[in-house]
Amino acid sequence: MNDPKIHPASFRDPAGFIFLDEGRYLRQVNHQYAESFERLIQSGLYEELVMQRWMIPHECLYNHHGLDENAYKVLLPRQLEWITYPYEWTFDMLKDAALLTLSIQQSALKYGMALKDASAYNIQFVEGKPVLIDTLSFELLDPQRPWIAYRQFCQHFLFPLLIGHYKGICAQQWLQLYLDGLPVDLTASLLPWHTRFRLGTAMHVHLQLKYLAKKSATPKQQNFSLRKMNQLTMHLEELIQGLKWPDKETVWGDYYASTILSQDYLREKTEILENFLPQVQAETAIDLGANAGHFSRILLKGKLKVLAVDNDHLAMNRFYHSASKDHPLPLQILITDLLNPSPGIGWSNIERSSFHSRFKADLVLALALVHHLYFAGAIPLARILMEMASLCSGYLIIEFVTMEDPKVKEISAGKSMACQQYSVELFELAASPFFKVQSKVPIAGGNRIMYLMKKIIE
Amino acid sequence: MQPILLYVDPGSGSYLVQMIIAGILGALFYFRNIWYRVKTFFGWKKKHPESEQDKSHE
Repeated sequence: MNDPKIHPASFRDPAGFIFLDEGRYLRQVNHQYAESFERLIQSGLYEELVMQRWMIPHECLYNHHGLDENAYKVLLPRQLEWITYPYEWTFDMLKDAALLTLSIQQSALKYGMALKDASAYNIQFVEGKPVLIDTLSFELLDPQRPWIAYRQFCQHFLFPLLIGHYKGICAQQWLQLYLDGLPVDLTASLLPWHTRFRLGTAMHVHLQLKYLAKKSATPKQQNFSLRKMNQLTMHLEELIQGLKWPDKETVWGDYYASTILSQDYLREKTEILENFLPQVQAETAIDLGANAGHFSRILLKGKLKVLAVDNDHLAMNRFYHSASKDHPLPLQILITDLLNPSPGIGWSNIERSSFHSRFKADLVLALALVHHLYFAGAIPLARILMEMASLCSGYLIIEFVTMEDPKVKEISAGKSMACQQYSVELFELAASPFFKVQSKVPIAGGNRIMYLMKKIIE
Repeated sequence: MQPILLYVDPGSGSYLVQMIIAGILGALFYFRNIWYRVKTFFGWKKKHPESEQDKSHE
C-alpha cells in the first residue's frame, strides 16, 4: 500500500501502521493482529505499561474505519512533539532506552506476551524519559521459542553500548549508517581481547559471532522456556546496568567552567537572557550549542519546551543525566553537528527524516556559536543567519563575539582573510534580510554582544 | 498458531546461540542461587536475584 498518508517509517509491520489523518497521527491495527492486540489490552499488560509511563497511551477511535479493509481498530496514540533518533542520543539515553526495553519485556512475559522486535526506533524520549511508542510490538509468547528480538536488541542497544563502555567511542552515532544496528563482527573486532574472558561479552558478542556463520542456525528442537527467557532478560539487564561512559574530558565537556571566561560573564549573559524572555512570545525553543544545558534550563524555567542541540557528547550526557533526575521536563536532547546535521536516511531517504525537516521553533538560541561556525566551520555570516532563519519561526537570541575577544583571537589566528569579513556591521548586515534587531546589549566589556531579533515574516 | 512475522526473519534471531546462552545462564543462576542462600543463612542479607522484578529502568 503506497498511500501517501502512511508514515514513511511505518510500512514493515503487517500488524498495522501509522498514518496521518487531519493533522494527527493515527495507528491502524490490522485484523491479523487482533488476537495479540486484545491480549495486550485484556490481560492488563497495556494498563501496567501505561501506568508505569513505559509506553504511550492511546484512545480507540470507534468511528474511524482506517485506511483500508484490513483495519481492525484505529487508535489515536499520544502525539509526540519532537522526534529524535538513536544516533542522536547520548550514551545514557541509549542505555536507559535499552533498560526500558528489557523492563517492558519482563512485564510482557508476566502476561504471556513478548516483544517481537527490540528496535531502538521503537523508543522515543518524552519529557526527558524514554517511552515505547510501538503499541503493536507485542506477540503472544511461545515459551518454546527463544527471543525473536534478541539479535535486534543486541545490534541496536548492546553493541553500541559495549563499544562506548570499552572504547569511549560514541558508537551509537554509527546507527545512522547501520540501519538495523551494529553488526556483531564489527563489535567483536573492536572490543578488547579480554572481553573474550568476561561472561557477558563472551556470550553475547563472541559466541554469537561464532554461531552467526553457521548455516543451520535455527535448531530443529527448540526447547526454550519461560524461565530461560527470564534469565536471559535479567542477565542482559545486569550487563547493561554495569556499562558506563568513560569520564574522559572532551574539548567542550567543561566549557563554561574551564574557559578563560569568568563567572561574571555567565551571570551577565544569564541576566540578559532572562530580560529578553518576557519580550518573546514563544512556546518552543531550540538551544543551539546547548553544551551542559545552563541556558536551556533558563528557557525551561521560562516555561518553554526546549530542544537542546550540541555536538559534544560528554556535556550533553551530563546534561541528560542531571535533567533526568528532575521531575518530567519538556526537554528533548539531541546530538548532532550543525555543520553536518542528521540527514534523511533509510528507505527512499525519508524513512528517518533529516534534522531540518523535523525541527523548527518559535525561539532559537545561538549563544557562543557564530564565531565557531564562522572560523572553525568556514561558514559565511550570511549563511549562518539564513540557517538560523530556517530553524526559527519567531525570535532569535544570538551572541556575536567580536574580533577583540580573546577566544576569537585564538581561533582566528592565521586566518587573516576570514577576519576581514567578520565584524559587527557585517553580522548585522547578514541578519537584515531575515531579522529585525529588537535589542542589542554589549557584555564582557564590549567584546561580546547579545542580540534579540525578530524574524521578518515574508 | 504461529503468526507470520514476515518482516522479522525468524532464522536470524540467533536462536542457536540463545539456547547455548540459556544453558550457561541456567547454570550461572543455579549456582548464584545457592550462594545467595548460603549468604542469607549466615545472615549476610542479600536480595534473591530472581525476585528483583520491579527494578526501575534508570
